Amino acid sequence: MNHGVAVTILSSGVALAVPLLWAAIGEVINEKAGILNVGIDGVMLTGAFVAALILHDTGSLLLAALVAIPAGALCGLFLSFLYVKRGTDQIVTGLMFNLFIVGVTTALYEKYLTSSERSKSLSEVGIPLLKDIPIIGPALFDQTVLVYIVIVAAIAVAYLLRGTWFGLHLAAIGERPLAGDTAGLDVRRLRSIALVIGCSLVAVGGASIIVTQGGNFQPNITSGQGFIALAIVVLGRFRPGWIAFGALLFGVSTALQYQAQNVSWMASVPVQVWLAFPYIVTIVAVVIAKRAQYPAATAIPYREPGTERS
Amino acid sequence: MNAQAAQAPSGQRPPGALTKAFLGLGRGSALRTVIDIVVAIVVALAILTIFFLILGADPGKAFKGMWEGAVGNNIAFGQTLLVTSPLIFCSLAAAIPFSARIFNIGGEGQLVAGAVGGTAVAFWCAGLPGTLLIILCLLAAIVAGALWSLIAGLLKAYASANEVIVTLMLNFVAALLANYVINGAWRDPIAPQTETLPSGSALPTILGNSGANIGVLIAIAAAIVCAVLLYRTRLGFGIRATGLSPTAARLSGFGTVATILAVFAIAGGAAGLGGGVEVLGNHHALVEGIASNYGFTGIAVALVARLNPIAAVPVAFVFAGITVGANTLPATTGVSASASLIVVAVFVLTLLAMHVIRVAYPEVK
Amino acid sequence: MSDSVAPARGAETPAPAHETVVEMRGVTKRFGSLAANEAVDLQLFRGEVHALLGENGAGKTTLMNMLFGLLRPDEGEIEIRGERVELDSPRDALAHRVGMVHQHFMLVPDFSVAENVVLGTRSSWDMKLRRRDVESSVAEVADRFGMAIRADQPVADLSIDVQQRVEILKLLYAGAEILILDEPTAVLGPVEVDALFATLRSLAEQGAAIVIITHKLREVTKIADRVTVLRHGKVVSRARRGELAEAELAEAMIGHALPSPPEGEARPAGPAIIEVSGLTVEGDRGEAAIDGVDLELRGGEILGVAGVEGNGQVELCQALCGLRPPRAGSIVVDGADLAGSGPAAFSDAGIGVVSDDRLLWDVIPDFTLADNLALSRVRAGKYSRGGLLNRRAIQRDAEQLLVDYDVRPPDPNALMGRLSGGNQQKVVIARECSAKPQALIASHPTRGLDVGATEFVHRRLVELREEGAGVLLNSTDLDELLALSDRIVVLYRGEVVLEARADSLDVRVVAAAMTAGRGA
Repeated sequence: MNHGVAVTILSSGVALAVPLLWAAIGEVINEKAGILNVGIDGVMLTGAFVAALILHDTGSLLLAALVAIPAGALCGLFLSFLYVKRGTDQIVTGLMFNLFIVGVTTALYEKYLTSSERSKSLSEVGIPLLKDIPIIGPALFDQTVLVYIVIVAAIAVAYLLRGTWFGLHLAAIGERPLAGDTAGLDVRRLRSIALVIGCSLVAVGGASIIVTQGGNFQPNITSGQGFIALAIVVLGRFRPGWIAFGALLFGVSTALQYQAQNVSWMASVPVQVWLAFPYIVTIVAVVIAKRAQYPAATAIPYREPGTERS
Repeated sequence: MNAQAAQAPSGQRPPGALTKAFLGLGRGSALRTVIDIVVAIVVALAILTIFFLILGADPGKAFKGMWEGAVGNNIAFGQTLLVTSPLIFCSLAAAIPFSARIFNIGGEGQLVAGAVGGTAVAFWCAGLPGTLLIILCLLAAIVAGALWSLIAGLLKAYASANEVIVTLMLNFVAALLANYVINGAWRDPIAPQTETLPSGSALPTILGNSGANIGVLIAIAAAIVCAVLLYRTRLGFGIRATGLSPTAARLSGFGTVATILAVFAIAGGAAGLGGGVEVLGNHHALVEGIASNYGFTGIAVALVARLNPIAAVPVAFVFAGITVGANTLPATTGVSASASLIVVAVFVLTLLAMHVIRVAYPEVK
Repeated sequence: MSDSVAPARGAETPAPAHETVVEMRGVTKRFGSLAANEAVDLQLFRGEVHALLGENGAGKTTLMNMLFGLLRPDEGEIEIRGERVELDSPRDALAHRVGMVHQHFMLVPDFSVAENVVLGTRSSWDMKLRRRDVESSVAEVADRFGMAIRADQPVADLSIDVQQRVEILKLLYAGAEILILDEPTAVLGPVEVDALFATLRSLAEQGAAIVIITHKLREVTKIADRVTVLRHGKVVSRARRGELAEAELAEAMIGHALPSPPEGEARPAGPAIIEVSGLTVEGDRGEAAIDGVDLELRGGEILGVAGVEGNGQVELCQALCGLRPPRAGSIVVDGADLAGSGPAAFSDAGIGVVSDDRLLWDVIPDFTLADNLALSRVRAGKYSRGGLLNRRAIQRDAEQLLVDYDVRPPDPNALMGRLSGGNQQKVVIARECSAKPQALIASHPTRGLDVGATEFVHRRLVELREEGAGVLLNSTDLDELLALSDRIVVLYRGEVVLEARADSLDVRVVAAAMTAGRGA
């Protein structure tokens, strides 16, 4: 494998990692508060769809990315009604939510977007000087704006979780909600807020797929990236630094399929293997991460003590 | 502290009258449950209607077309039966593990694996007499599905790997595996599928020219077997105990590893058999996208049936009718057939929100 | 909710003696048709320790839950410092300076002491969290009240009595003056109890009003300035320190004289059923919870395992039933070493288990009584006929057992979760004893049960012994242990530090062994 191909793989890897990283940092907030949002893929799909729709209507890449935020927030509200207010099982609710979104977005796509042929995406913006560093230079510092923004966002989320009272409260209710409740925290409201914020970020991840890869929506365009983000979160042990690394790992493993034909030994392997590579890497990562623990109260709906079952 | 209100267990009652399965446990009286289900149906249909209106379609025309498409004539009915079959198999692939609180989401991939297995044996043993060939192919499908599912099972049992993520990933890998096989030695020159399977492997048809085959009967038989397994055997007892209280089940001596492997093997076998039936009975070839959302819809079936395999049969039929009926939508109203997913998902979500469907939980400390 | 980080109380403020700080009048609370509290009047004074005495189910916790804002009274009123209040939540209560320490601690294990203490003191919208500032302010308050706690330690590393002090510190930090403690000594050994009482007395002297919810008479006589006795939700007796003798308090509490513990005859023990040598068992955090223990459980004896909670009893019992494979050592039953085998092997060898957390380990609340009774037998294949379960036999056996062991309601199809704690425990005992085990490993079998149910369990354990089985009784209730056991071993930091026949033991010797490891 020559130098140029390696750089290209790394570079595409970083770009492909962006949606995963957005989704992962959003999901960290949810899971820290004790919600396992299996509906993450549906939220990403929602973000992707509305971005494609706005892009089709207005041609503005910026607007397309921004509109994902309220779309994701709405998803978060809807999910919080189910997960928090009604206390439904999070895993099956998330799965059905995904099914719902697939149905809605596919139907809307076939009605409104099949005719749109776009090839508009964000262009790279290089950071002077830094981008000339060999190998990592072009890979990290000659990327679209979204890459730089997501890194800032990841740092912001890290600060939110570790350096604020809000983060402390989230950690408490994710670990031992009863302790938070008796300390006076409103467990349900905090979880809802976490969901709204978290899902907004996840939706931006979906929008970033559209905005960086040509602007065209396809049914099920997320192809499981939401679930890969779930794996990244637990692998990264809920620390945004490790999560960013994990996202990069998966981004690179996805990038391989595009370069496979350029490298002789890689081209001799059936192309399906490279397409399957990110999924296999995810499985391996989940196995390795078995020691990583979710917060103790994850995926368990919280019922205040002393309340009668509704 | 006095006992708190006990949670309604999912799928606890043994199979008996169908009504018992539907109405047996809920928020108290059977009447309440019926009302809740009706409310959920109304909500789901209302959302669908709103959706039709947003897309500028005539709801009346749409619903009428769906009804006709699902059960309007013999051929439509046959189509519905054809879809009922994989839905039953996929719901079994979810219901058995979910009863142990093991979330196998890989029904889709396991079905595909079974389809691949059945296809391979059909081509390799093409010369054998019909009945023998069919039996071999279906056995291969069961084994292939079970093996595929055991990948996740072994990883969960021995490495505590999160089965939700692993089975989901395996779905994608299975689809790619099928794609590889389709583009291999048996490739059909034009369509995205293999060439037609040897004629001896075709499942016998039923109901005249409806297009339906005995696959749906096989599915019903599988559901009965699963029900007996879950409610009348030691293994099933252990599965349900593990689902309701993994700790108490462990102390009683029900082996965690054994339970995990058993449920994955059974689930994979069921889904795999479904894949074999699809290949031998429906398409007579391995086609691209053979599993088309059956996995998740199957999970929906299992949930609505409250994890009861017998109840899954009529629920699967209804959902199949919705799916088949929705295929008429592009023609009648220009709406995508994926609208069926909307109504199914909303229905299940409403039932979940109303606590008609519940999944048991450990106590929050 | 005050925004300031430093709490308001200080040792400098002189405490006005006997000022009424809480008054509850005619308080009633109903759950369905059951009146958990009926027309209860209660007065709490500053500077005193008040005991709320009663059996389980008498309504003590319900009453205090209303003072703490977890429940609202159906009738009656609550006045705090002369002002009528309606408390909607613990937050409300804290705003009125009422705080409660629950039986099960409400601490986040991964957090440090400081993080736990300040958890509820600031709004989520305050942005910056400076850990160092928080830690020093918590340390300062701890010093002020004379509690020796390091603010930066992770709570999970602390022993139970220190964790309890953190709970109290939480309340003090938030400015609580009225402290309610729910069964605070349930998890403490005798020396820790004395330390707790010293702390409480000192806090009272600084002006706090303290309520202890308890069903232990000895504590009442030791620490309480006044006592209110509840029975069936009503106040049946009130007294000041020294006015009533223990026996009279007991009679008020249960309505009749305290039954004496079942008599056991001194008898020579039978053959060894379980032989443990060199047992080392790992705890949850990788430490050696049990370190090189040898012991023997013989037939026809009750072996009491004493110790302050957290010294390895749980791990020992889990190893003896197969839940926790030991790192080293052997557990020999009938000549075979079962160490490392799973629970199935132990069960097949005739070792029964009553765990200390019934809802977690012993029963499945969503299963019927019949299925719960059949749990281990189904696993062992005793009801399997040709691959299928013999449901009729399961039902029949269940019906018989429910009657024999006086379970209410004796309905095999009732759901386990709907039974009261006492009846649930009867089902567990029914299952384990009817299996005619060689040995029974019983952990806190009477925890949370009222006098009647406790008596029932004790009788059954003695019965097992009479039948020649060996019973290992793990309990932190020394009275129970001394009354029932033939032999006692004391665990301290995972080692056996004392082993002797129960009738030759002095409580003080046992207490010393439990808390300081001094033993014969």
